[in-house]
Amino acid sequence: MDRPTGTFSRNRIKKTAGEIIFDSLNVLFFVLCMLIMLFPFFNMIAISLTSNGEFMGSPYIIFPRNPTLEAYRYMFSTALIPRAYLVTLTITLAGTFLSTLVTSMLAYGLSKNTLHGHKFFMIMLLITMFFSGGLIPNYYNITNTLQMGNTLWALFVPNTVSVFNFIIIRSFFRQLPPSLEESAKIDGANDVTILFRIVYPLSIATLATIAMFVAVGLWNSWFAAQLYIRDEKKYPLQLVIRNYIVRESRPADMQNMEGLRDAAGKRLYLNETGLKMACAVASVLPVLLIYPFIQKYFEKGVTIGAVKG
Amino acid sequence: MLALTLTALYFLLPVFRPWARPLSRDLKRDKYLYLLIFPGILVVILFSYLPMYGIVLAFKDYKIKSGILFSQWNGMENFTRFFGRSIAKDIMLNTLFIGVTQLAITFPIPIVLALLLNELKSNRFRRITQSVIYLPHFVSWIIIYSLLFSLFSMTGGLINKILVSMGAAPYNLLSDPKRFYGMLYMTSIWKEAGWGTIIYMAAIAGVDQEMYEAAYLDGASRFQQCLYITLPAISFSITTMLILSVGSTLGANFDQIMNLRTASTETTVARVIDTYVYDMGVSKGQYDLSTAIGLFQQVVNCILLFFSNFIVRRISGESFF
Repeated sequence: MDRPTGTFSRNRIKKTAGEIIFDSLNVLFFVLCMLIMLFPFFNMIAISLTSNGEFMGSPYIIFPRNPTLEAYRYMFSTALIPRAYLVTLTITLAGTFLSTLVTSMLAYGLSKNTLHGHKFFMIMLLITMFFSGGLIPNYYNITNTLQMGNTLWALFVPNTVSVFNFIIIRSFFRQLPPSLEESAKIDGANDVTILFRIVYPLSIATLATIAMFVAVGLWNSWFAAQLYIRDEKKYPLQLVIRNYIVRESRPADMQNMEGLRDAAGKRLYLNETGLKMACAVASVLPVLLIYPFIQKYFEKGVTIGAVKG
Repeated sequence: MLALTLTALYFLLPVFRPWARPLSRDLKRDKYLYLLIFPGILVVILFSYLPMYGIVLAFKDYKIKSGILFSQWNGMENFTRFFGRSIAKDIMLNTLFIGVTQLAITFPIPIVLALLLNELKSNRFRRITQSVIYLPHFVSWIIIYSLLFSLFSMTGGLINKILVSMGAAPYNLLSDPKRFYGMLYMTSIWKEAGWGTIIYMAAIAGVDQEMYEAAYLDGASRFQQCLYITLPAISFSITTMLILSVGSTLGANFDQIMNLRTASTETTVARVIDTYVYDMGVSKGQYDLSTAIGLFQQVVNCILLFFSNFIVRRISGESFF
């Protein structure tokens, strides 16, 4: 957000002693905030890089003296974690694409007030913001009525239309100049062509913002998998980590942890906390790495929503 | 049945009267638009409206072999069965207590943070700070439990290791029922307070700079400028956020509680309506009872939402809808 500086007084040359103290304390406060936000991640990574001997031997470790990638090497040698990665990647990509496409198509159709039944469809969508079937009716619907239990479809198709995103995209479409579409219409283009050829190219930034929100949501989602997936081979990464760290049950794939050997045939003694943290780092690292580049889009997305009120 | 209801609604509700043009002509003219909205509408019908039929489970005695349709009606028995249980009171109290205290404690923090951020002089430092404090919002509660585990695990957590090496007793944060609520508040603040500032910062960015200049020339101190210019500028955002938060008081932290509860807290302090619905319904298969409790909660939430909207409109003249 590029904006002029906040209060006028910061452009003054003279400051009172009270102001100087306040400004220093304010900066100090936010430095402390940042430390509190970042240190847990740092600590998690440090533990995942610590060898078992060092972890058991020293009273505490801020950063390991001999960092080792043993835990990561072991993690990716199991079938479980790479497979879970693949599942998460699949549902994130497929779900993001489907959701952005379907929601924006819906938003474009309903951005036209002249559409017969426009108000009916709007009310129909808004009701779902305040009222839903609830956990068990949804569960019953997907497993029994629609027979989608234990499929990856159940993890991203039900949430394809987010009414909140729909409203944001729709209000964006509505403020595009209508003359663009009118001229295309005179040239004989139909609504589908107009949307894909004219409107989409103009809305890439907005759609990218929405897509990123959807993607983060899908990457972090675990509850749908917990509800609908019975087969451990179809577990996404978050659910695997949840079962391992939160529910404290070691995955079947990792039961032979003590027996792992390195290239020279020497036995590796992994420490369980380190392995757990390595799993957690594996799931959060993509978010941490991509975050700096997409952060400004997130800010923009919320601002679009805020303008709408 | 659903199609019938929707068709009936379409012709009965007065909102459609102004659109009484011949339908066939519009269908032909806008056929591509209908094609575009079809997948979205289909998804909403299949995954939002179709399950609503399942709400009748709340008033039935569900038997697997009969399905929803042929199970016997039993009136309000599911509701009386739940409220007759001795744990019902605990669950309601826990839910209410967590919802209200968490709202009261966490709601003002983003406002204060935004006001303080606005007072930072260096734009560069502010942008860096914002980036960092938004970050935890994008991390799942599962990862947050993992972070807590790496710090507070009784045997391997960093803070407990430091405490032990200093000769103190380890601090049992994760499974002590007495510390559970404190943990909820602290993790909520850690995860969402920074992100919560974003909407207020957007509102502050829209304030006309000349207002500050005028106030300065009139001799207003920075604190007064903050109080009389910045705060009123974000009051509409505060109202909106407050209404939305109150509307979900009873069920906003399901994900958090599901991932932060442990064996020693899940049957005591951490048992709220949502987790009980999940435990009873999905784990134990009592569909009818859980549907009834879930419905009760939704109705209460709806009432809260409209009630808070009404109160706020009365007090400040602003409202969300």
